[in-house]
Amino acid sequence: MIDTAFTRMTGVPLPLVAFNRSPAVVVEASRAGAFGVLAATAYTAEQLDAQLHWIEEQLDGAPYGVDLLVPERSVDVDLDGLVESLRAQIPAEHLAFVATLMEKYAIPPLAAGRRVKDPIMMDPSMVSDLLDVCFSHDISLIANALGTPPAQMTAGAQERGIPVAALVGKPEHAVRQLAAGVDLLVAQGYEAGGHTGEIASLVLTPEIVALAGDTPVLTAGGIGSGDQLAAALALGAAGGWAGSVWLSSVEDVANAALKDKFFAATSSDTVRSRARTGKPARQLKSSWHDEWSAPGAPARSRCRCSPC
Amino acid sequence: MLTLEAWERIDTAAERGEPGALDLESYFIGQIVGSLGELRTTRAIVETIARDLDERLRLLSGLIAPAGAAPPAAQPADATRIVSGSKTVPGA
Repeated sequence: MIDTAFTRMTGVPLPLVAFNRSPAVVVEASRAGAFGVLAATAYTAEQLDAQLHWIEEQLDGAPYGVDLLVPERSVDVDLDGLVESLRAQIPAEHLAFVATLMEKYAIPPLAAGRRVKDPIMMDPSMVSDLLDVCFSHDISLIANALGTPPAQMTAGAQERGIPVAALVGKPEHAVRQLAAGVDLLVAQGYEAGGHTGEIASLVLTPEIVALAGDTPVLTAGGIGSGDQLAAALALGAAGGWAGSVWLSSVEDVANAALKDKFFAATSSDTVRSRARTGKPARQLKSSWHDEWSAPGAPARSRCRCSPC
Repeated sequence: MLTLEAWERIDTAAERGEPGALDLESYFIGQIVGSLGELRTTRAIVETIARDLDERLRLLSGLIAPAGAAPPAAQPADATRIVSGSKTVPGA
């Protein structure tokens, strides 16, 4: 049992968040004494409701949280029209390049009728429904992975006494999040998987701790072992927010081929690249990145499609 | 948006073991990927982290000499051994 501001906030014995998209990882982490947080992207309200029901049945009262991907301001437009208009903004050169890659690597098309889910909820009624679902469940933390949380999230959480967490990659982000009234800052260093800034955890954590005052800070990026968690505590953090390490778990939904690539990789085998989402995100290096950085490949930074 | 469908196709083909898809296959992961050695249960991962955290904090607190004590003798090389996840650094 470690006593920090985070363990007091959530009631867990270990100051460690297990952030993952697989409900079974969230359940097993919370059962084992960490704090599971579901990466709830690309769910409809009904799907999220079903997942949270399942998690709570398994947990039997152990605390857990939810991380949504919602914009601070939703766009009040016809969604189908918006999707079409964004599609129209993707340069033809980029579309053609992806098509060429699919052909070169012999990647079959999707089965008929299979739809691709967009991880970002741009429809305001959907954001509102997702928040209603979260607040109808017994969650102990709500986080937003996309900038400052919308007022509806902070107001609804405060009303119910649920702490709100936000990811920050540099001190300027922390100033904005503190002004928005978040209860927990997650300082995400350069080492982290996914969308990261350019400051390493060893430098970023104490910078954010110094700004945060009484607001607890967790370190994200580089937290995969007890020694690394101890280092986060030594830097003044109230705990660690771990994502990558759970991708090596039995319960994670990633396919076995991908997990085998992780096990074969070294710490030099990731790349912080725009060649997947259009924004700098750390990912496992593969032929995909070689192709996008080869001479003649289009420059991803020129794509004007905002969610791309 | 541009790549969502492409990745869905790559993941599906990689699950079937198709070589082109295995070359392209990737996902968001941090630099600690280098210390991921084997498939483990989530519970085993949490318990290892909890145990190693406890051990590291005890070692750290032992580094402080009591007030007025003589400077500590040099520590043996393995006193600060690092056990990181499932991979053990030489000397551990």
